[in-house]
Amino acid sequence: MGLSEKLQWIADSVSFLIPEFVLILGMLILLMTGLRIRKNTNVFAILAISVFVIAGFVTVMHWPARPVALFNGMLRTDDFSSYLKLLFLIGGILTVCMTFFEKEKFRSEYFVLLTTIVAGAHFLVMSMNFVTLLISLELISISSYLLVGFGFTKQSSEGSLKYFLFGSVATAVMIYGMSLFYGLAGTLDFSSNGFVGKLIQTPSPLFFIAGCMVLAGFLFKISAAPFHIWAPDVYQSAPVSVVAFLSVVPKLAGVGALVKFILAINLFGQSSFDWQWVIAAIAILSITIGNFSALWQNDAKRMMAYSSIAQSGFLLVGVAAFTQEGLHFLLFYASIFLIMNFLVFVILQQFETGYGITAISELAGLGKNAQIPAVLIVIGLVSLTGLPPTGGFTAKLFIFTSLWDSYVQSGKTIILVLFLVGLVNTVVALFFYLKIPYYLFIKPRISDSTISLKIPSFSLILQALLAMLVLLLFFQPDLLMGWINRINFVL
Amino acid sequence: MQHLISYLIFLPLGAALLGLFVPSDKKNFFRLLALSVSILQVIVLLFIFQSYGATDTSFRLVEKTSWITMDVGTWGSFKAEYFVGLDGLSLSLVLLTVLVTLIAVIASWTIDKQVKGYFILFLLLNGAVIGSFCALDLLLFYLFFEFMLLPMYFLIGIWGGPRREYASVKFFLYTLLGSILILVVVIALYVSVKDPNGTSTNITHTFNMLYMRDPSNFIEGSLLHHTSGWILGPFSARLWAFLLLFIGFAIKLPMVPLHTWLPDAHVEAPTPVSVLLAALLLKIGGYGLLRLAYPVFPDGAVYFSWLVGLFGVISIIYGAMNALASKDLKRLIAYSSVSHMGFVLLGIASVTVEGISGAVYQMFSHGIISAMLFLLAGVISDRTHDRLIENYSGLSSKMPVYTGFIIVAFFASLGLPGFSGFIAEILTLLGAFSSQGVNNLLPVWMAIVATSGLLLSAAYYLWTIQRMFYGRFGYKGDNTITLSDLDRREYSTLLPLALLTICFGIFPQVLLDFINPFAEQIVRIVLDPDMLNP
Amino acid sequence: MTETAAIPDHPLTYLSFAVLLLPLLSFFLCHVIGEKFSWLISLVSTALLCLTSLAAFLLYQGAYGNPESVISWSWIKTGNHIFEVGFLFNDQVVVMTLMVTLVSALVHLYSIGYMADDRASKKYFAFLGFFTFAMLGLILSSNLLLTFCFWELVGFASYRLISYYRDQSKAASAATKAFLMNRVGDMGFLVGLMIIWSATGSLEISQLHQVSFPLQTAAGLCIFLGVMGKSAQFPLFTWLPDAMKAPTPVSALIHAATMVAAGVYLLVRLHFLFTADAFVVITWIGAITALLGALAALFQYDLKKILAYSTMSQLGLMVMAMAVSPGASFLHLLNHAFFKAGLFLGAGAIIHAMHTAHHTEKALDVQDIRNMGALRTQMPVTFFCFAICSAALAGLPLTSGFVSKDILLSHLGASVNTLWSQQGITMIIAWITVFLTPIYAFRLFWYVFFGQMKNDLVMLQEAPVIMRIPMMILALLSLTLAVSFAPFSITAWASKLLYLQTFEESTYIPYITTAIVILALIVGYFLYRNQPTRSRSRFLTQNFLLDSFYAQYIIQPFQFISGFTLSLDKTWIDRGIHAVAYFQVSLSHLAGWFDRSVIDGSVNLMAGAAGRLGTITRYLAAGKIQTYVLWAMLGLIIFMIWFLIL
Repeated sequence: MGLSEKLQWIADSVSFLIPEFVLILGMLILLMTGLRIRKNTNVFAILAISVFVIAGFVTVMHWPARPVALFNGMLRTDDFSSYLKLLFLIGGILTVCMTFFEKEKFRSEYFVLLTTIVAGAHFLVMSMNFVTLLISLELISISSYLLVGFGFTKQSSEGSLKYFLFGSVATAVMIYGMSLFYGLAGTLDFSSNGFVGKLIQTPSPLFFIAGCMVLAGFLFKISAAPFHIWAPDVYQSAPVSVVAFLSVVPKLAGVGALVKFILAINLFGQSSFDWQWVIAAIAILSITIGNFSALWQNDAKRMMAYSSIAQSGFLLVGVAAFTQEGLHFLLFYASIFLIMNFLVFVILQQFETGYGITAISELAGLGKNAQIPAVLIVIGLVSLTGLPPTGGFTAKLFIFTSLWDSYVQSGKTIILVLFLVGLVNTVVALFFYLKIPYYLFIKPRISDSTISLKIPSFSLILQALLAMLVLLLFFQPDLLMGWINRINFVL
Repeated sequence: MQHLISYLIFLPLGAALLGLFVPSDKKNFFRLLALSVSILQVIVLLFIFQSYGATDTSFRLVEKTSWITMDVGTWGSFKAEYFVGLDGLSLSLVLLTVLVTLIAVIASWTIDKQVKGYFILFLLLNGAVIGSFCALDLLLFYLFFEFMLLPMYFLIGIWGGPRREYASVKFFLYTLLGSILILVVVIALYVSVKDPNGTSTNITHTFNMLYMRDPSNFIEGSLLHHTSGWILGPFSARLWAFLLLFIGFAIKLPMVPLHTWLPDAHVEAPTPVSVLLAALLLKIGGYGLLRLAYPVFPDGAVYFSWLVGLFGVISIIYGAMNALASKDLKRLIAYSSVSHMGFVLLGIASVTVEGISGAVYQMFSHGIISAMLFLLAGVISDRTHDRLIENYSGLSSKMPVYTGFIIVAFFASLGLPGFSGFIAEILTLLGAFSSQGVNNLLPVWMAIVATSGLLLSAAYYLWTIQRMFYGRFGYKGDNTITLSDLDRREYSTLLPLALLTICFGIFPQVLLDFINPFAEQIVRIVLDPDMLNP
Repeated sequence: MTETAAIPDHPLTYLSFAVLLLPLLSFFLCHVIGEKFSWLISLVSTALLCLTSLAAFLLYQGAYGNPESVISWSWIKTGNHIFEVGFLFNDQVVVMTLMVTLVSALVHLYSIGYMADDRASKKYFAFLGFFTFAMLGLILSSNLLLTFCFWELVGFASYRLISYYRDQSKAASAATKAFLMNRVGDMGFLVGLMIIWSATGSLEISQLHQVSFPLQTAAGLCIFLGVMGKSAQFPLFTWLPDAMKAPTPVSALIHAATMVAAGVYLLVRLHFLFTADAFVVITWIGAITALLGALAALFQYDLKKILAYSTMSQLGLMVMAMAVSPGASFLHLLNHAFFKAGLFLGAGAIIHAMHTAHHTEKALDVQDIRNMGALRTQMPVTFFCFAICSAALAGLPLTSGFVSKDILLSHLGASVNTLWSQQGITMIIAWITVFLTPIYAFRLFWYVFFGQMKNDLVMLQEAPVIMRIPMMILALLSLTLAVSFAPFSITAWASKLLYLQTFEESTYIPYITTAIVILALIVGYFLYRNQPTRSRSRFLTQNFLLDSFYAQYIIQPFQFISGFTLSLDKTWIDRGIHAVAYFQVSLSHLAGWFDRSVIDGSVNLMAGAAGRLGTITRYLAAGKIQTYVLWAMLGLIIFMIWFLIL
């Protein structure tokens, strides 16, 4: 095609990327203002929030009626990715809100990085090509490395370094896998028919190895086994708001991209390798390792790290179903996960900033001093466990329903195993999630510090709001599902 | 009168919500709140009885409003409703719940530690129990079923005795395990059951328990359809489903050998909580079996009846044996509960009208009697914080009224005619014995062996009376404690229960009129041949 | 309760309700009446019981001689089965009712005196009333299920009354023993009911006539197990001697006249239900019991225990005659009720007197006949009453005991064909019992009333009037006049009224009996004229060692097993649960091991290094990231290889 057509194409494509442009613009503005205003004020936070809000608004405005390929198949907007984008933006907003309660104000760069990551996440879920995939992934990764270091303490810089080194290796592996794919398929556009057709024609173990290598990159991003190892240290060292952010946004972005990729290399079920089996196995592994390792953690954030490993396992369950509904329920789960995870982290942040408590055992007896947060965190944790009456239960119910359905269709044993492992792990999960309420309410206070926590009312409102949402989505899941169901996912 | 059941369920829940916003130092407010809620419930219950009408198998006072209905693409649509109603089974258990809760509130008056939290949890529990007895939608039932867990966990864990943490965690492990087994079946069920009113193009997956009873509502090719050839190990999918449900509910019941959470929970829990635990929460197990497992999986019910009956008998004997050996009064009573709930299992297993009526009646009567027993155990442990039987002797001289109630409660529990327990047990035994002749499900020897349970229960109760209450007075413990007789509050909690158990022992038909139609219906459903292979 | 109206409003209905409920009323009144009117209690309850016996007499007037009639209401409806409650009237029922109410009233009257100086007599009278209610219910009930209910309630009342002296732990254990042994029998009864019900679908006594169903023998034997418990038949009799811990009037009412007779009564009522095979067992059990009872009575020194064993032996006689002639047994039951009640009341009077005589020194056992002697002088009335009643027990002519025993023996005799048959042997046992009875009766009598006076009994008082009257009435009732005007003829109205099946009147048996009795008395005289005080072997004095047998081979094993199951619970099942928990822990440790050892370990290492100079080189030098990456890659590769090989 001629240059003019290409230009035309680009011009058309640009009109679909307004949210991303908003984000990038916002990033630049933040950077500028950051250069002007040296002292740390709430200005940046408010700016960032407004950026996210505008972006969200625009996203809703330009809700794609049908999938559109942009930039010659580099990216693609569809409602699946748009929905995820909204989640990222909400996550961003919540994170910025959390920064209000941190001990000291953050520098402008913090918010710049947040916006960058969100933008990266946007691109990641849109990308249909290994190159864009890689770029957006790196955009996320590098900014997260920096973000983790934002505690400016020894551990946090240490953590960020670990994160960086480990991440770089993962990326390297991923790139290697991509190159293999290029060799096998002769194209980097994994959505194109050429890619698929070539792989169907020439099945080779290399295909599988390449697939696994690329997967490795994703697994690292979503901190799923066996690439979860970095998570605990990083979470423990980073500021709470950052942890909350990292445990949701990049993870969901990774899952979003992973779905597209895995469906691509599943070759419409004609693949010589059973990717469903692989995903199921990974899910089993992540759930089990995550839960069992979390059992005997005493550090709250570290425990949440392992829990988030398990949670990504549950997210993968939705993928493993390999059905349309599976993906719908995956989105539902993702939304609930966003809410309940933030709920828990906001309250943990209260405890950390208010009492300077990071160890669970030190929470003993706080239930009386800080009643409302204590009660609300129970809701959050119960939801994470997946018990009624919380959205977590509904999400798990849905996601396991789709799994059961796909078992009935496929009859693969591994799916049944995943089903049972997932449910049994709920029991295990309860133990460590319940440890927090157990210490809050049942254990008596050891050190008689009767400091009653003065919780910023804004934070209380935020907590209450999130808790309400968690409960609401149990009683009225169709509010959300009705919307999600309109998403029809095609590769 | 509309929405009577909803009042019953949401009164306590609303009150709990209200309580959240009241400062925790107003202790009497919470006490009065709980009390007034219970009294209101009694009033509502009166209205319910008044509008219940003739006794047949249909559900009364049904409330049905759409809760969750959503379209899940090609897979069909997902439908859960707020669907509650009463039949004989639910009604008798709701009656029990309301009465026992009222008593428990009065018994809770002396609780002085974190009153706010206590009564809020108490109210939540109250609502959840009634809800699970009224729910006709499986998701709703499961919601209430699970919702009982946390309040109970905290009630035991915070207000319990010295080993409360171990007890509460153990309680949790067991029950949650059970509920997970149930959850598996819940998922499997609603995936494979469709709403007959739904269109053929778009299948409506429903949680409606009444639809689940009708085999024609099972989707062709779904795992739980009668024709599905799915086999895992020895059993087909339906048998597995029944088995999972059975184990799940048997843990709550509790059935030997899944019972060991009960003694610990009881020994550690504060008196009113053990009352609720014994009188109400155990009944959920039997209720679940009768409401879900038996009508939905009649084939499983028939296939496993022998097993169920066997475990019933084992529970009866084993529980009685342990009671015989226990040194702690509360532990003894807890084991006696295990033994008595064994009768429920036996009665259910013999799918006869007498057996099932007896089982339901046993649930009711055990609810009243065990409440009484735990209150009585509470009386003595409130005085001395010492429940070891061997430490007491000749209490009857110091506490005559208390002894009187003890004798009433013990003899009621060992099945003396004139008390409700006797009716329940005789019906159960007759049913179990006649089962071989009627439907050839249970062998005769089960009933005969179970009969010896009555003897054993007499043994451990009388032995306890002999050791604790007769002979010269003596208390091995600190002698500064004066063992005063019942005070007015204790008396007022015990007397109604005593009267109830006698009244239901002499006029059983009052309750049986409600229970019988249900029992006949279950028997019809389970033994109906074309239910098995449509 | 809806009335199914067999007889809509028959006067009998109200009468029988009066009979049934008046004692219950006394039970309630005793609880209602407050402390400061407690003296009222005894009078009120006695009055009520007199009313009851009056009503019973009217009932007797109304129903006697009429054909059997039933008044019943439906009680429990399940499915298509109905359990009814109601009254069944026939001659046996009304006569038995009369007897029970009469004895009960007399015992109440007697108790006014006996319990005069007892503060807590409130409970005593209450439960006397309750017992009477339950007993009457048992007699009148028309449905086996209802019968069973009252059957158990009677046991309960007896439990409460045996344990009346609550600070005596012996009394408590005796009560427990009594209830449990009865319960053993009752379980049999229950199983019997189950068999009958599931076979015939009904427990209405009136409907069970001439039915025959599979397992009928088994059903009969199960019910007989219940009888064995209640009427203290071998081997379930050991509770009866212990039950003598109860106040003596209670022993008179419950453990001599009425409750223990309930078993025999039940056999009479359900006679049609038992098969010939069942009767073989019943006869043998009865025979053994009769013999053992007589033997044991011979070697006891406790006044009340002698009477208890003799009761047991007499009940044995009734049971063994059941096969051939229920009527005879029933007649003997009535007579026995009167004279044995009389004996107990006499014994009560003596014990009462002994108590009041030396309440100073507690050491002396006031029930040991070796501590008595020559009481005839101090207590003439008691002496005469006792004499008449013992004569009736021994079966001397002109007493009711003689008549009923004769009828009984003649029936037994009539059934004998050859001596070496089962009937023959049981017949012989019966003779032996009849021979032993006068001996122990005489022994008791002799020890108590004759011989030289013990010096510490000088100031012994005769029982007060209120206690004498009942004794005298009972003594009168145990004279033969009460039953027959022709001492040597057994075709008296009593025998006719009870529908004894006609048989050729054996003329020789009365004479033989008389001879035996005379002989026995002579033997007794020569054995005991100088009151030997040495006691016999443990075997004969202590329930034939049955108690120790039970203790060793039944109770201990049970305790062992129960202890075992408890430990099973504590150790094994819980251990299983814990094992699950431990498994989790270990698994989580396994998962956490990596976390701790590799990561945390190196973190600490790192912290140390970084503390000094936190340069990247150090980080890498510490080899942390390598291990990291190594593990991850290893994971990936293992995963891939695993899959590819799979």
